[in-house]
Amino acid sequence: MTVPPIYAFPPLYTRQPNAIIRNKQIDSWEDILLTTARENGLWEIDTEGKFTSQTTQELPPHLQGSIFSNESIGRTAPPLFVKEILSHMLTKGSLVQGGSDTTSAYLVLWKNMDSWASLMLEWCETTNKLGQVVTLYELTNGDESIGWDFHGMPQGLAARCLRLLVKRGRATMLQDEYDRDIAVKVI
Amino acid sequence: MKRFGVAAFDASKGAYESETLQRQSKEYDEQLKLFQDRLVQFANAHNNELKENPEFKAKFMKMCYSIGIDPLNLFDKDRHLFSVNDYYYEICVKLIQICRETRDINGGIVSLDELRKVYFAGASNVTEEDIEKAVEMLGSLDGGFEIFEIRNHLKFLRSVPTELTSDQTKVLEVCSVMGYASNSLLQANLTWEKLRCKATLNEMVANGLLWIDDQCGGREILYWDPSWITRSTQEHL
Repeated sequence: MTVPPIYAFPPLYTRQPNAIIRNKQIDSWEDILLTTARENGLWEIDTEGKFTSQTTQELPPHLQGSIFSNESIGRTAPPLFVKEILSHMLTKGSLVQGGSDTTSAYLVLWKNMDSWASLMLEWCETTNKLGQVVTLYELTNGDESIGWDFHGMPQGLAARCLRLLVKRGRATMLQDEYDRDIAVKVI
Repeated sequence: MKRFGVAAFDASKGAYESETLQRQSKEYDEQLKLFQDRLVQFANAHNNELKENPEFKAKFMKMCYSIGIDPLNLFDKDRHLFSVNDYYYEICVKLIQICRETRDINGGIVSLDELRKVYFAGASNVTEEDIEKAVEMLGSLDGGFEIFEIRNHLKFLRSVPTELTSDQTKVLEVCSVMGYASNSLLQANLTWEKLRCKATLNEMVANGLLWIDDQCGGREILYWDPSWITRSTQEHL
């Protein structure tokens, strides 16, 4: 995995008093978070900055703790600052509320929802799924989506992205008896 | 399940597709590289015509730019390819770009070493002397670009109009050794009064020249020079 060199820069873990620098600092953190999520196929992060893995596969050792803590240089960003960074990302839309099991988790959007929706549409077009019912499981975990960026995405998030397609009039969602989204038909 | 007829192709279709795509994109890359090399050769061979015909030159440059040739690679300063000044103008443009992009991180101070090794990495023929000459040319624009020297050999480019005080320069000297400075380091090495250290460091933080770090074993605040960030990547290379 490639972490930007600034991840090893000790002052990155202290909230900078100079506002211009602090903006840059927060941008750097956002970059680190999104890059890490993308490169490791991770989707959820808790309020302390710990990634949770959806698969049974274990996280690499350096990601088992909070991303805001760097043991090799002995630095940890204070909780208040972490909160500030995460809420900045929430405002910007690169993070959204609503992880799978707890209410305290965030979903990491290393592409925005619109791009995800378009990518899913593209997938349906390339794999000849137009007009067919595709389950969310098939879409995010099926063999046919291997190699696509949304492979492994939590189904809840996938449903949220697909709802954008519904809005565009390109898809219909299908629910199970508990009213949960389980499948989609893209037209 | 064994499939027959056209359906038999379905199973392996994906693999073929991606393989073909990869091969194609590799071929394109190679062709583009070749084309770029040829263009550079062409520029070398037809240097005089290019120099004499400004319209031809502009079009040629535009073409090179659109297919991704760094203009710096087109110039050969030893052979006066095009006009020798063009080469330095290109460096000037690059310098302004780099300084603007990195100003928020480094407060407008960047070492020539960093400029050459990190930001001019794609154009191997640029030397520190070239950068210095380009900065000299920028002087006529009155943009506040200036080169200063610390410890008699480390040169820095300053792209913000506020001039560094001699105290601030001294702090940068200390930073260039360890990557950071602190009150006690300054007191010990420069025999400054406590107040003088504090004032200088705080001002540099306010100007965006230093980043603070309060997690150094709870002892005192360290003040880091942001050029450390790219310095550590150079060591890894």
